[in-house]
Amino acid sequence: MTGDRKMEGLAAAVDRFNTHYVYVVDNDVSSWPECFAEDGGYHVLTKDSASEDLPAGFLFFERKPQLIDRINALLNASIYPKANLRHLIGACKIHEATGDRIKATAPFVVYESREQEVPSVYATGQYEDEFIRNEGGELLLLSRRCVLDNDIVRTMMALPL
Amino acid sequence: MSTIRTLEHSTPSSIDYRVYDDPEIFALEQERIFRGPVWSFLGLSSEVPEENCYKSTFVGETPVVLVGGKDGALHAWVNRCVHKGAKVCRNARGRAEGGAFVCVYHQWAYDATGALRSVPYRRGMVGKGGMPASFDIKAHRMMPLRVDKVGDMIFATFSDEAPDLRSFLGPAMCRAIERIFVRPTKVIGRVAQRIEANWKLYAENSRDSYHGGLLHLFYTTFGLWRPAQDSKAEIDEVYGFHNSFQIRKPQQAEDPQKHKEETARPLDAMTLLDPTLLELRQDIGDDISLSIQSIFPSVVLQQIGQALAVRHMIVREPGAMDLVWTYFGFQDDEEEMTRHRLRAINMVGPAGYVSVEDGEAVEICTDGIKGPDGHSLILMDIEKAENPTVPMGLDENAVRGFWKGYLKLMRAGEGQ
Repeated sequence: MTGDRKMEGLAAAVDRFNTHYVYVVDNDVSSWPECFAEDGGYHVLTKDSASEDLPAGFLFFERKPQLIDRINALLNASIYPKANLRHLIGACKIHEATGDRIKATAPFVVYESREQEVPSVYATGQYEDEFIRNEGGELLLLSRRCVLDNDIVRTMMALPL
Repeated sequence: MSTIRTLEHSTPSSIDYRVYDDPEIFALEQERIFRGPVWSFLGLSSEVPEENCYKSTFVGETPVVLVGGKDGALHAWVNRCVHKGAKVCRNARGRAEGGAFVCVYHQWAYDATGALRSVPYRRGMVGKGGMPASFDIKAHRMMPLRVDKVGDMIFATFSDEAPDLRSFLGPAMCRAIERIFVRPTKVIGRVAQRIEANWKLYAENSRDSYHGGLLHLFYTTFGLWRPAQDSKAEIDEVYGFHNSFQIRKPQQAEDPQKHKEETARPLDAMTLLDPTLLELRQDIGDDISLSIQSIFPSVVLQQIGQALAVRHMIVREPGAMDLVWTYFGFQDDEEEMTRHRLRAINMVGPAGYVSVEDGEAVEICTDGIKGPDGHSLILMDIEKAENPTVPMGLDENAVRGFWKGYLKLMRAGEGQ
């Protein structure tokens, strides 16, 4: 397989993963942690902070158990406006592929529809991802850094981006 | 109802709902509070670390720029060109080369103090055009504010009548601020949330410890509730509209049962798989694990575990504000301490486990007060009022303190 063909194959695999991710967050959010490896990280910050190398943002999780805690809290403890989120993820770009690791980015948009309100754009940005393959050859997130174009969000941030 | 009657109808324990949404009240607040004898937060020292570094922010709805001057001096001026009123500084933060701030519209140029320094074609060209001979460049400058700081917190006021900053804050508030800024700090990140609510609803929320264990169910859901007998609440000595809450590290086993008896929601404790975010590390050097300090009118300084932040309310309109969270650490933090601050920040901010609800709470108040006139009932512990030793969560003293100071300022000039 030539390098280009290999990269196309990887890009198709990452795009397939992102299609699955969107389905999970918008339809079955309690399974969201399953998109991550056991030591998978999830980090949400603004582009403004990222460009200044400032690490603090909205959320910073380092391991899958913390993502499960997040979902348990959101579904059992936290109070936030009732809303449907709709994620759209654009085609990915592969930046690096070594061994079983892939580094990729993909643009995303998240729309929010609250009860009795017209929908609005909640966030736009770019995922900066690192993937690893599990034993079955499927991709899992080793790290997803959500870099938001917007430096402000409406009301709060609850459900995953 | 007229603006003045709305204010007259209000007392610190009963606020007329129109005080939150009347545009005339909002306009009067700009004059009597934000441009009145009050110091407003502008930023942290580390945001203007060197000469000519600036931060663009707001005092009330007025855009104001904070600039680092020579030899550690600080300047602040209204971000408005004297020519046509254009916003001169168009960036949120940065460094002005040579200390020059140039309006892009007609290139009128100012120095770091806001003084006008040059006007293009002032003397015209080949005898044509130019400003009148009477035009005195030295007579024009962007409107300056008085600037001062306590700890690393920089404040400004429009008013010559305002007392000095330390007197405005009072000794207890100065002590609580200086407790945090024990070593040089650095900003580690920023986030913000647009809250579609009047700013005073959030000002109340930050002073209201009563809602803590009732709205924010993270601790109780995960069986982490701590009885708050190790807490302390303080109100400033002069005005009563600033306050601080502090909680010491728990010294005994935690018992969620007592709290469960008081709350109406079912609380079947779940287990937190990874409680790392709750770990307390040696940091400031005392045993206070939580400190939330609300400073009138528009800033909160907080330490929740290792999450250090200022929350700055940017007042947009009667029904909208931005809450800007600036997270900081100490310059001597090691990498692991910075990582731990990031973990602790999961508790706070627009997404935080013990604060995600606050935006929604003040928005539902905004929705609910529409319609017929009415007023709030802020009565918890009113009979033992001003008792600063009441455990957190059982009183609304600091909320009444906010209103006491607010109403006094708003009624100034009405012969009261």
